[in-house]
Amino acid sequence: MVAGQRDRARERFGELVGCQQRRAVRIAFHYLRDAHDADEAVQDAFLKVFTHITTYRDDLPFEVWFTRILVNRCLDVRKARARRLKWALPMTLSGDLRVPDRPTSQASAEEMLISDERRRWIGAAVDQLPNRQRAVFTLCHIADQTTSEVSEALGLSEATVRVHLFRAVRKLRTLLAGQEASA
Amino acid sequence: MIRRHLTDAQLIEASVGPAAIAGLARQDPDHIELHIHDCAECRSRHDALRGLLAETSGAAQADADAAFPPDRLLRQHARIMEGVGLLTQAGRVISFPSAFGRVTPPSAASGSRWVAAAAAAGLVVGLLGGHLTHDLRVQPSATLAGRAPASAARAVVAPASQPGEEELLGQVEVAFEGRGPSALRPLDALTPVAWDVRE
Repeated sequence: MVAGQRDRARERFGELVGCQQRRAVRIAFHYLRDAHDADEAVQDAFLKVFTHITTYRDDLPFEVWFTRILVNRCLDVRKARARRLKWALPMTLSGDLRVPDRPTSQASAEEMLISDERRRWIGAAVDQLPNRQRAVFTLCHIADQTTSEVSEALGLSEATVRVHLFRAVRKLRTLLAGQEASA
Repeated sequence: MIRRHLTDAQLIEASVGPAAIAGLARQDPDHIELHIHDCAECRSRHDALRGLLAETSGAAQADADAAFPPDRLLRQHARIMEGVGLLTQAGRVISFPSAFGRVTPPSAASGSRWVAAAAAAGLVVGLLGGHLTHDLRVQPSATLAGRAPASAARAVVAPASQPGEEELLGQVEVAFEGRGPSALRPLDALTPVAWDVRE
């Protein structure tokens, strides 16, 4: 009987993972800009959700609670990577860091090249944002969360979230304008 | 009438979208929206900024989707469920034999330790006490015995008072034939048969 309940719980958790996975991967990849790190962060976040499911509060939407866990995990991974890179030799971007090209039959080769270049600029610009600004921008614009939900997810006041979002947009605008001018 | 264009801050505030500012009352939002509607230059700036934000979101989502195609998501899902399976296995309670199942509470264990320590201390005190009382009883004869070498030493210094060899052997014989030191008398009382045999 206990084994049956456990199997059902696992099955339901599998469905939950299926519902949240795409969104989680987008947030983690946008935040970390590395497929391997994003993969690790998403897996760890889901396992943490499973082990701490009893601490989940009903008054908070599940997405917000899960996002909080995911963002914290992403922060940990990013810190660990910064520690690793501090002692590593500088190297060119590995294959995993590069975003794979999308198959688009309609776009010409030149358009694809410009589009890929542009995407790389945008990714690099987002990567230059400070941690808080990047988290707020990612959650507002990639995860489509309101400032209220982001404040719950990050444990910040809503006013602080708005300030970070404002600064993130202003900085992105400046960075991308500078890249366009230099191109 | 002089019309001032929107500042960058106002433009960003207007461009972050209704999702980001839901539930918050902006400062004079009607004025900003009216201005954007009426001013072609500010409308152009506003559209450019919104376009940039939309492009950023679209690029980020497209990047993530390209890096995580459906088969990779499936593999990730399988790994997560594998991890969940390991976690649930690790949490399984193994039934233990009832004979070993009773665990002594910490308070009882510490109490028994105190009893054992008190018993050991009592034993040590008893042994020491017994030894001391024994030494105190033995001390007078031991003192006499201890003085014997001193008098012997003095005898070396004063050869005039040194007993002869015959006399010394006689004293030894008397000592062996006597009833022994007083400390041994209770023991002798317990073994009268041995003395009878000897006599």
